[in-house]
Amino acid sequence: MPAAEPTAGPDPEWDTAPCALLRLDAAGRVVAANAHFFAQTGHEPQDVHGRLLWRDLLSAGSRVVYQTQLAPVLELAGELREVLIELRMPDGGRLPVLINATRIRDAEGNVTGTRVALMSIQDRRAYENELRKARDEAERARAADLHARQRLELLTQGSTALASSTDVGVALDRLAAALASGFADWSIVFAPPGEDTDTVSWSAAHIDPRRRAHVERLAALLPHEADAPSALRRALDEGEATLLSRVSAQHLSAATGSAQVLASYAALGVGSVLVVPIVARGLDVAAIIAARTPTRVPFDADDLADLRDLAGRAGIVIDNLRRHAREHSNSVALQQALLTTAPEAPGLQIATRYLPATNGNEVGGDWYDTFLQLDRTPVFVIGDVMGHDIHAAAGMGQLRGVLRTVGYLESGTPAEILTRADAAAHGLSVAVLATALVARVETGSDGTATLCWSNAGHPPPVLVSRTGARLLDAPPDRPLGLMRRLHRPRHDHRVAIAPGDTLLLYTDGLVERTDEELDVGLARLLDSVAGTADADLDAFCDLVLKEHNPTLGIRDDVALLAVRVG
Amino acid sequence: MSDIRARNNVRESGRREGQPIVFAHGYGCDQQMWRYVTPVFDPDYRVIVYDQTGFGGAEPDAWDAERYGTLAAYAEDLLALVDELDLRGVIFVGHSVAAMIGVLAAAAEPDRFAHLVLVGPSARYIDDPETGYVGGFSEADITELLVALDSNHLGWSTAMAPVIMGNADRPQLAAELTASFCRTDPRVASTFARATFLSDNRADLPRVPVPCLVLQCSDDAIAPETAGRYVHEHLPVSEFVAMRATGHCPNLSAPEETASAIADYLRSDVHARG
Repeated sequence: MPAAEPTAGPDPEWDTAPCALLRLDAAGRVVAANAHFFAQTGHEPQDVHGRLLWRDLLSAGSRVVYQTQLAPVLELAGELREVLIELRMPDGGRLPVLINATRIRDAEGNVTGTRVALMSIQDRRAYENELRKARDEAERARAADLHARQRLELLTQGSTALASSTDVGVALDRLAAALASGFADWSIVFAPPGEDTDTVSWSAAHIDPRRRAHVERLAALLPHEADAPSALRRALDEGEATLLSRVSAQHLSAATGSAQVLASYAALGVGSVLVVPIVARGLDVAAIIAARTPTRVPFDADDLADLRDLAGRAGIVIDNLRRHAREHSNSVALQQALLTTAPEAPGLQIATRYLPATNGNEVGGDWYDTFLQLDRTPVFVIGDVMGHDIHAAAGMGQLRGVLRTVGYLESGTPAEILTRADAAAHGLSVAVLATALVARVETGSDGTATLCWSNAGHPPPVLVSRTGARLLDAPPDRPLGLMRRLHRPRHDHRVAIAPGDTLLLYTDGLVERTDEELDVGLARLLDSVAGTADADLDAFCDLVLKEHNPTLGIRDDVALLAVRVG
Repeated sequence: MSDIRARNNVRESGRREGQPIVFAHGYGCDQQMWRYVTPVFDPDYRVIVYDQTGFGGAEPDAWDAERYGTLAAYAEDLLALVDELDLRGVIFVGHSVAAMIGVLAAAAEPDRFAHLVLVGPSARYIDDPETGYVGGFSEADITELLVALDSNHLGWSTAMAPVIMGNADRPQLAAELTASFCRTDPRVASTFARATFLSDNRADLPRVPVPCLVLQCSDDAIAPETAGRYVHEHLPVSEFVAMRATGHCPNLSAPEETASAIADYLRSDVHARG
């Protein structure tokens, strides 16, 4: 470009160029500006010459853009093209321009100045603004949609986590994990001391499993804080929910006197926090802390409402689980109390075992019983009341009492005992359905022993003798509790027994597994007891339980009664 | 989350067994900001540069408007880098807002860091008349900046992206720079600007137990001397060096002075290292 250098006085090409032109020295000061520049900006030459372009002629925003982005580019690449900046006009107005700039170097390559062309784009701005507005609106709609989806996800995930839990600890763990899987970055669920524990328990979770230890550290510290964090106290003591939408470092230092707690907060990052109580039957049973790090959009009132909703569901679930656990331990205690020690029966050894169900949630109505009739004939009972709750355990207690009383007073055969007990239970409104097997050992005048039994729908007993083991599988009669409509006689069965023979009575928990037919279990039972006739009776019981119980697929409880002759 | 090396375009040079020195760029461009400074450290140190998420050669997908709305996210990235590269005794050199990113990271995990070098730091850009703090900007200035950035979309769009023309003297550099340098997605630029210029990290300064060097330029319109002095005075262990270099980017405009100021400091402080 010949004759374009503006340093030597007016130049028609320079001044009539259809854009604003500037020339800067090496330090960025304006050494020349063309007429177009003055016309467009309204500046006077004396306000421009010698001034730093970036510092004195740009808007504050453009100053930052220039310093942080444009100057480095110019420095490294030597040129700038088509970047939008704003000039500050003398009246305070802003003039949007596109800037092009080129470094000027001398023969040695040293920078001597910069040529700048500025193209006003004021008229295009309106169009750009329209485009921008449309884009912003689309983004807002998208954000609102995303928010709604996240909300639904929280409720779904949280509810699923709760529904699939079998005890309170698991429910709290899963709730904490569900909260810290997106809704929050980390969460702690606190359960205050309950009826059977005097320590605060908690579950902690972090969206990044590697950082869970930090949350756990904090969870362990918080309950020991005397006065803080007050939001947690308010939730636990007064059932109050709190939203802290912008938590600053100052807030946190004010909220705790503990350097350790403060360090935990710092390590985890606390931007916004929700603290919500879990209430069940009007009692505050736990509190949730859900936190987002400062990098996340803070929680708002909608998030608080969602978490309260979820906490409400959690309260119901936790209450149910607690009641269930309480009931379970009551049932087990009741059942254990009813399983009495066997009486001495001359010429017989007796051993018993009872194992509660292995999954801890079900209580069986299984029982065993031994007593002597008025004429001192020993009677053995094994039974199983249907149902797996406290009603089953209570029903078992009543039915056992009826069988015992009838068996003792009437001195009848097993079939008679069962028939009368069934009638008595019906008449006394003992509304339970049960299988049972009653057996007694009858001694003849010649001293030989006979086993007599009657079976009310119960699995067949096993008789182990030196020659082998067999099922006493005479067809069973109907279970107890089906009175009236099935009025058919019950049957006694008899088999001779010799000294050394062992009778094994058991409940179905011993042989029934979820994944196989009953026959398979019975066959396995026979196999396992064959050849054990000489074993000590307690060892025999242990062996039976070891072979058949209780780890694999056995959900029911098991009662066992073994009787050995001689 | 993908490998941090790819995610944040981590580049290493220097002595493999040397003490790690991590250079972080501030608001604006990318790791190229350090290209004239890092060679000085190659003979003695394990030199690591990276691009902040959203900038330069960092994986664009890793950026998220919500997460990167505050400086804490960038500090987390730095800690992830230190963690994944298993760096110990790190010397962190942060320019501009990266200085505060280093402060946040060192406050959270001080054991990882041996020194922080803060080039043109500011703990708060907006003046705070209540406390007499001078950050250099009024709220109106920052609002104007944010509006300017928000409205700069068309200017920065792919079609009209600022193209950096070749420099006849250094064509290779030009080609390299044209590809990425300072071509930031406007949404990223705007979000980072908000995180930077609306931040107030004054309360974080006393929580940094790591020895620091504050490098202050003359005539820095982004981080004026009042801001640099404030940082220096509120860090528990700090040295303050006023440089002759002008402007906000001494790493580009005065790389020799910048590099020797850092090197001198590290040499003088060698006895203090763990």
